[in-house]
Amino acid sequence: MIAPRGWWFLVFVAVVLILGAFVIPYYSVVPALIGITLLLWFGLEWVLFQIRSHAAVSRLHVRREVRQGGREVPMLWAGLTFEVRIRVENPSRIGIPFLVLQDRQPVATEQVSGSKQQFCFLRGGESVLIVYQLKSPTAGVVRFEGVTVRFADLQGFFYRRVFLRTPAEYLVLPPLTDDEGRQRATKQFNTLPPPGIHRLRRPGSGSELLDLRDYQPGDPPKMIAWKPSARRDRLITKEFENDVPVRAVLFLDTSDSVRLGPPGNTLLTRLAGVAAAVAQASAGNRDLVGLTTFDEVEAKTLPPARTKIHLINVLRRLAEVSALQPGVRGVPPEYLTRRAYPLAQELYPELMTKKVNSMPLGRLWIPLLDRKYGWIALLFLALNLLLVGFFGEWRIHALENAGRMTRWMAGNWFWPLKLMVFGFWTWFFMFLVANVTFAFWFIHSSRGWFGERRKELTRRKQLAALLALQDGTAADGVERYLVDDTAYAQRVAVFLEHHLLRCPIPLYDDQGQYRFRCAGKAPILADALVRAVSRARDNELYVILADLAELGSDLAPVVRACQLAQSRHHHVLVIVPWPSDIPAPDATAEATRAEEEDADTMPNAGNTPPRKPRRPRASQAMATRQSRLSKVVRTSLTRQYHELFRALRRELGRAGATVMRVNDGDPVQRVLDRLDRVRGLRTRR
Amino acid sequence: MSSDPRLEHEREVEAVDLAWRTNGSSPISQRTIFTILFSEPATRAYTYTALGALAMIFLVLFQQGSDLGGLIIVVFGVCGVLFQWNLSVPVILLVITYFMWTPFGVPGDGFENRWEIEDNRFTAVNVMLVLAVLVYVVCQYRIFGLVHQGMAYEGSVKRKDEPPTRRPPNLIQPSEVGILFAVSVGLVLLGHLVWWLLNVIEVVPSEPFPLRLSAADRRLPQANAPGALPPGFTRFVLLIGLLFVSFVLGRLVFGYWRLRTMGPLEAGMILVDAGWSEVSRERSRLEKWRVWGRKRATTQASKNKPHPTKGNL
Repeated sequence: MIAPRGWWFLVFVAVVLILGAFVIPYYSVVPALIGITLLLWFGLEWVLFQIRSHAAVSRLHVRREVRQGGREVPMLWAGLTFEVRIRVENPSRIGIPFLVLQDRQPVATEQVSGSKQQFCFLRGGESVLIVYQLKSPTAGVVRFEGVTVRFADLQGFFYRRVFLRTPAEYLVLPPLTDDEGRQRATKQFNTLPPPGIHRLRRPGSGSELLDLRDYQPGDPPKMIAWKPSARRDRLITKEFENDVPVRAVLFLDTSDSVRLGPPGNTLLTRLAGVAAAVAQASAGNRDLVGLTTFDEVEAKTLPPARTKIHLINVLRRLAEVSALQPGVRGVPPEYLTRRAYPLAQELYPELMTKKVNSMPLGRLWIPLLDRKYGWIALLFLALNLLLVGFFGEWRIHALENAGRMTRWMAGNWFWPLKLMVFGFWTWFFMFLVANVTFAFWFIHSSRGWFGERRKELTRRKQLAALLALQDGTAADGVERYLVDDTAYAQRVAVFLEHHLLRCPIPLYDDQGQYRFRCAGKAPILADALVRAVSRARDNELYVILADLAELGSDLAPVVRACQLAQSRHHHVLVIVPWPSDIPAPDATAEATRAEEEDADTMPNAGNTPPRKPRRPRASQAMATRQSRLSKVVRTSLTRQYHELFRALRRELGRAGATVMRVNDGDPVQRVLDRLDRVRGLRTRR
Repeated sequence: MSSDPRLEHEREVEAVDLAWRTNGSSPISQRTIFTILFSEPATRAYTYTALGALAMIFLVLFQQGSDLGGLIIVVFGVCGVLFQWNLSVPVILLVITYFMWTPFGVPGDGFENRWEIEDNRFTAVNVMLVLAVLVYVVCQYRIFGLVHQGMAYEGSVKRKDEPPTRRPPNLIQPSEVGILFAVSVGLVLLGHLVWWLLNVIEVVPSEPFPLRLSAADRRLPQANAPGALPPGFTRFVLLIGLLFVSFVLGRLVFGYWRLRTMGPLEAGMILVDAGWSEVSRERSRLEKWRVWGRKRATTQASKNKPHPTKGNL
């Protein structure tokens, strides 16, 4: 609670007081008086700070309001500005003269205007309002954690930070697209039926003639085709085609492979954005839209519908999945601690202090006997006992050496002291091997009290205690998280995910394999596709938004499912997310050529005479080498990815599916065009 | 409604320039610091009070012949006010102490007076000097808070990207300087009272109640009560005792208050921590066994798993 400035002030006042009261009181009493007065002033400030801290700061409370479009909302729209209003109230009668309030800005949001920080003098019974505007560019979840309160006295001697936790989560729905803009502006097919329907070659109430048949009693007279009836001399009835709605089912990949990336800018977010635009445009065209989200474990389906509520449900689902984070399997616990500990300190400052969450020195002791070679120490101890017990010469030598040392050290001392010194040296020489072993043991084990290990273990324990407290598992949970790396990693991952904080994840495992292929999603997707086909009533469009490029031979179930869909006259469109750091296949050739040209022209840029090549320094040579190496790796990875994408396109193309990249033109328009094509087709059942 | 772009620009510049009034994290230049110190009405009171207190210190030291000491104090004090020298307060305190010991600045030139303590009880000069020092110190630290840093950094070491947090001048209350004066006068009188008590109370360990007011004149060594501690040691014992009692009392009161205002989470954490420290050794052993067992089971399962190609061959 006392800030460094306060400690320094105390030290100097103490020096003045000691000098004044005990060294020079008979020269002048002024230093003593100054020391006492300053000490009294410091004490008074401490008391005032404590009173304000306990009576006022501890009782502050916060009310949060999130407004969009001028009213308080439970959900937000991406891309639109929303206002955050926070009211911090001081219900006590004690005023706080210097207070800094700062709202914790949610991840993946941009501040538009206003200030989330406020400096204030908060009187008793009054409140202060913080208003600022934010914008969430992408869909997902916005989580407000609370308000940081920093409180100090007017001199900066004392300081306290508390966090007023008011967790609140708001779904950010994908941006509302302009329905008019997404609808077709040009009439591509003259025979297109009205929006929302397509023709099905079954008798129905459509406008296109399907067939003629003999009149059956009960047929409406207006359906009688009089001319054919006259020609055939019997009553013939007209049958019209059926008008059925067009249905599109979106399959959205939510596996770990698309969750990677910075918050708000993942492949999943982009895919969800495309899915949202397609869903809204289809709804605008009065087409039915369904959504199936799948990962490696399960698939969740929203059956096709076209109501407003259904559309909102689809958008909600998309917002929820956009906020998903990749699993942290394989991430070392130290990485997780490094990420989670500062967060825990920020959000739970009172629970992470040494006062309430301590780490005893005994737990930092490194046990020697846990090591494989620890038994050697016991061996030495036993050896020493054997020496003492069975070798008389050892004992005699020990006593001789002890006597020599006593004479040398304490020859003229009083006899009880001499006896003590003799006893000490006797013990030392008698158990010399054991003493050396114990010294080694101590040095080995006390290393845990210092350095990085101590910090790491202390942080882990504090974090473990916090997590155990949240779980309600008490002391057992603390020890489990301390000992069991797997349980600890899982729980910290949940903690980070709960607070929407991402952790840097290694993409490749120890064997150099890509950890996020997520091959398990292929059968899940295939099952979902087959299920959708089995429930389909007429020609449908299946849009698969998934990262399938890395799957390779594991793609077989999806190919089979696509073949099944094609055999049932459905359309399958696969949209593959494209990593932003990999150039498009058509851009690669040009880029490579440009790089080569650059490399050719670089040395002679500006027609300057060529310099004598200098011998590069070691650091420069290393940097150049690393740069070349990374370039080679990048090129190789790019080539590999392109190859995989070509293979995917080939495989799915054989099955009748169209494969496109998400950044290849406007995927939404492509989907809508395809829907139009489906709408214009005459289907046969 | 159309507005002049130049006017708009000027307004924006003015808004940025005046951000220091309300925002304690905005960076400020030395020029702005002078503006805060001398042009901002709320802060100006502190500046002039600090300079006035320095003048008073100089006057008192000058009057006792320590003109050099007074000059040093004024130089350091003014630099502390204007340029935020962090060391100005400690230096001034040490310089005052030094020149009180030896008024002319020559070591060993001071005059030791056995009756100094008794003769200088509640004298006006001492009261004025102590008051001036206290007022200066308070003003100096508050000025630090207004133009340099008013709130400690978050960790023990300052982070690179962590800006200092100042106290914006708009938070200064009109009555602050008045209260400062009143409290300072009270503290100076209280300080004198404490010093008087430290010197008039005798510690007599041999008596049932070891404290008593000295009845005799303690200037003479023979006037001490039999068994009483010498004056210097008495002061030490009393000062330490006073500090200890005040500290313990404060800790008790505020510690209890802290327990009263403690939230359920914090209380739960204390219980978890206490429980863990009791059972950690046993639990650690169990958990290690559990982890070992799991690893062993995994290894055995992988050993027993049939080779994928074996069945096909």
